[in-house]
Amino acid sequence: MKILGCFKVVPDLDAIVEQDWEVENQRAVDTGYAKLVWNCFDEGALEMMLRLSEFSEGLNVVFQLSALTVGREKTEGFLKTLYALGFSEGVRICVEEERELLFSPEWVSGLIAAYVEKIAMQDVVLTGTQSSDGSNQKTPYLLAERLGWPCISQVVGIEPVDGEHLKVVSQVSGGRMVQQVKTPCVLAVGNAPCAYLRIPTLRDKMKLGKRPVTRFAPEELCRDKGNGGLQLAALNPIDRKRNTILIDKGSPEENARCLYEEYLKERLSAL
Amino acid sequence: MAIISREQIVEGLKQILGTENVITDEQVLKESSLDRYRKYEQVCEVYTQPIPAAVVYVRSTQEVSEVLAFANENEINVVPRTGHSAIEGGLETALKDSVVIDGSTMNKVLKVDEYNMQVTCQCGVPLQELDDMLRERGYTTGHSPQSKPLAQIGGLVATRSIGQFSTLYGGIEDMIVGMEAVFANGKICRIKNVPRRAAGPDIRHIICGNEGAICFITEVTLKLFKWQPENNRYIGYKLDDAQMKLGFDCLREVMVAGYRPSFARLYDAADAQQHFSAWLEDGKAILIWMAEGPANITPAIEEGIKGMMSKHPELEEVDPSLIEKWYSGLNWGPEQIAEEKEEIRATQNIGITTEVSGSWDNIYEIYKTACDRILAEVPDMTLMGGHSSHSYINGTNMYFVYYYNIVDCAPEEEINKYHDRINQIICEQVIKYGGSIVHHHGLGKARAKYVTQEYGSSYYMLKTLKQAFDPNGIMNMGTLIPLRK
Amino acid sequence: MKYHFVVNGYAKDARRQMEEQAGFARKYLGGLVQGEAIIYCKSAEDIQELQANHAKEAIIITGSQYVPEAILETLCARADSGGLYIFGSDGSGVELAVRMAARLSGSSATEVGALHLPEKQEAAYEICKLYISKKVYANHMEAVFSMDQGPFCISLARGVGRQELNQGGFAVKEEIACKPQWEYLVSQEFYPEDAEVGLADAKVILAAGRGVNGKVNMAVVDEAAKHLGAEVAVSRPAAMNVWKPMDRLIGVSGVLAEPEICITAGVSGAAAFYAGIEKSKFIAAINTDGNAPIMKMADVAIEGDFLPILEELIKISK
Repeated sequence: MKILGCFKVVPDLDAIVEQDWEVENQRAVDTGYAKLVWNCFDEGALEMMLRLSEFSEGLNVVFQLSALTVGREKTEGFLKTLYALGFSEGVRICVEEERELLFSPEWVSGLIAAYVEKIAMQDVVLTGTQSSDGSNQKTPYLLAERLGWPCISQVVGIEPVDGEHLKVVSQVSGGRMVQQVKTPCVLAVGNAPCAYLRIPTLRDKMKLGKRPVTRFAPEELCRDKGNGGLQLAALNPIDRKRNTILIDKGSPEENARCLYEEYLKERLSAL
Repeated sequence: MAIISREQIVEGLKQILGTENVITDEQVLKESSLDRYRKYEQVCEVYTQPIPAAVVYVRSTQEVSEVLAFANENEINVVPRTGHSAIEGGLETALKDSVVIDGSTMNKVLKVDEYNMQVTCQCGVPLQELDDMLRERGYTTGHSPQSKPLAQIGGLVATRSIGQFSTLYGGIEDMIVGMEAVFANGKICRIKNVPRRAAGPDIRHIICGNEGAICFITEVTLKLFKWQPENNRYIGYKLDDAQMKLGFDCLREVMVAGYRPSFARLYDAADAQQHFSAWLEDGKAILIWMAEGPANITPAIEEGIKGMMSKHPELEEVDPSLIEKWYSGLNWGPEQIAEEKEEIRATQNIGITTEVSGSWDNIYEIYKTACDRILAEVPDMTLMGGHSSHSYINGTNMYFVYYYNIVDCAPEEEINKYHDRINQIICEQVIKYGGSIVHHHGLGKARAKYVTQEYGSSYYMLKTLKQAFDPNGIMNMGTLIPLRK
Repeated sequence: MKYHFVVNGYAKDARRQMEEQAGFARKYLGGLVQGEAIIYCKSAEDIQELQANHAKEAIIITGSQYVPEAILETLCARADSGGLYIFGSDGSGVELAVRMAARLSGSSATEVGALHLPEKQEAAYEICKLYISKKVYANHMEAVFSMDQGPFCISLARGVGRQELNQGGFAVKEEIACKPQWEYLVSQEFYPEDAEVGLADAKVILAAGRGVNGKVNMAVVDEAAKHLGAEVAVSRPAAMNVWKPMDRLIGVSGVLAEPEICITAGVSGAAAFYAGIEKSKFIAAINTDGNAPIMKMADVAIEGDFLPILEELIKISK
């Protein structure tokens, strides 16, 4: 079974300085200095693939794992990490300007679909439900539509069944759904319990991580850069400040009484 | 070990401190039996050290004195603690029925003396709160270790802490003025606040760095400095990882030329990728300086460093705003520790650091041979690298950073299979080339076993100090001086 | 332009999602004509059982199993190419909104927090461009997008303002049974899980952070919560220290609450935490550090140790 994991490499948003969240009239936030990390939803998806392939030992199914990212050259280190973990193919669709990808799920899903249809047919495509920066939440669904495949969203687990079927666990409102599905299909990974990808040893990196990444220019795959009728009009800081009143009546007890009498009592009784 | 029962210990402490300040909750006791040195055991919630009899919260110097006198009389091992951020086993309760004396409740800033430029605090004042408060007034302690969000003043002085701006402000030993400490028999000693004196040996250094093995620090006066971040200048260069030797030489050049940047750092490629992966190519090391101080000085430092570095064709200048933003975005604290725990649980991959120092003529050998040996001798390594982050006129430090996968190994075995093995290699290489095995995290219990090699003939002085001040052996036994097995 | 609510009748929290849809329409869709709601569910009874509606008429799409492919097929066959379709805030709403728009060459947006119609309203039915806003960059920024291809399919952000529903069931205009067999789906089983503790719907929340400093002090928090009629919530560091179980976690990785009153004790106010309480009508913060971010993001703040303050609150509310 051929499985493709699609992932995005994103800046670590925790490392962004406060002022950069406060800029107005920009098309994107300056995140160029923050270290790169796996988009957390995709990271869970990639780990899930590795576990699936471990699960299948003893079954008569061979899982062939590939990974694909759309991004700049610095992302190739991530693909090499995947090589070291046992992925057999790593693909980068070369887009050097990160901002181009931020709110472009139509384009990104078009590129992935073209890769699957024109270059290397797959049985399953896994990807996270969203990225932390763009937060579009569209890529897996658009991909399913482009490929004409069914899609399962909010996936939290997969297990092998046979060469054509997978058991897929997904989160739905009020519980979990366990489905046996026939491939091909797109799986959109949500809050996976295994949110972290394992880490290859330096020895594995030396042994397996040196293979070159397969590169494609976006033009080779998909020329359609349509935005699906959605266009960024503005990006605004969020002002979370309230006009805070500081209670300072002296002792903690007095402060507590003031808090209760002046602010809580009425509100509590109104409930 | 205690000559009275666990119950009697608890009872005695309650009589001194009141029931509410003597904690015997099992979970609290377990968590108080170790520190971040046994990070993996902590994550797995496996406790291999003797569980203390109690954790007690003290509210005054007098209470500390009474608790110590009680412990001394009954030969109870005590472990002084404030922020609980130690990472070399200094806070492990190595003996049965120990008592952890927690000073974090003594958290008052007693006096900000802006005229004499000094601030007096109790031992439990969190450094972050202190420095934030001072910065609002335009001052700083100049002390900014990574543990800042957790660490408190008592622990910082007890471990001879150092901060990121040490090249300008020095380590905590350069910042302390006077102190108050309590010794094992309950004796309270105060050292007065003066700019300098030559009245015999500097006895402050019996206290500073004692790691709780000689006394309990209750009060500290620190120097103040002006806080003027608007003048900061950042300078950065990248170079090939193979040029690390040159990197150390560049650090040296700047020091020898007489510049005092506030920080001076050299990251090797492996460590640099953990910080600068957004823009730094794989295989590149990086040199960074920050100049801090009055407006007319920082540009001069910047110009001077750039002038010297421009003579090295191997270096390529880096946009300083990338360094500045990286630095402002650095954060570490309880959130990160919680996240790290989760990550270790999920991946069974753990990251540790070991810091050492060396002279200019041996630091590169220490760095290179330790890295090479670890990679060759220790299994399952996933990252091996490091950085130099504190430079002096005569040498610098090396902060080894290493990660490994824990494979087929019970939590209680991890320390032996990996952590101590790596520590040992580093210590062996440091001693071989003539550096110090501890730059700023303390000997703790983890590295106490190397103390005689580290001290050589001067071990006599350390041992005599310990014996003189703690004849009953109740002060954080196993720290500084290893327990006899 | 007509707008339609699309309701996930399979969801346990269908009522809540309907309330959010109604709240959203009331706030942003004044002047637009409402069309029939579209409800996908196991059976019409499931939804009529609620005895509540947010549209007069409804089309009901039924299927014994939840199969998005089947729902989409029916949805798309009925869609009005200029309509605005408002999906719920769950994963199903996101998926269906995006895929429906993709099939019909419309435009879609997910987790929408607000919608703005163009200025000129006189010919509302001719609207062919609208603006929506949503949170991006992990809740750090708000992005405004224009949408200009119908049908306009949006899914709502969790926790948009709610509005009470009308009493009584929907008038069912049509009931359509989905195609029952799907080749890709061999089997499907549903395992219900215990609902989260009532944090999401709590009226009063007492949130504790790392400043609470230990399980022992947590008992005081519990006691205070009991007296104030509050649910206890914790920030990530507190949950990680097992001062409370994970289902009490509030914030980006936990529950996003919207209580009337939220009191925080020993919480610093990191963005990831604050997202969990920012919809609170009233926030009171207690923190020893007057400079903590929470002290500017609360309505009232007390600088000081939380213990004596909570103890006093316990006394008063007794």
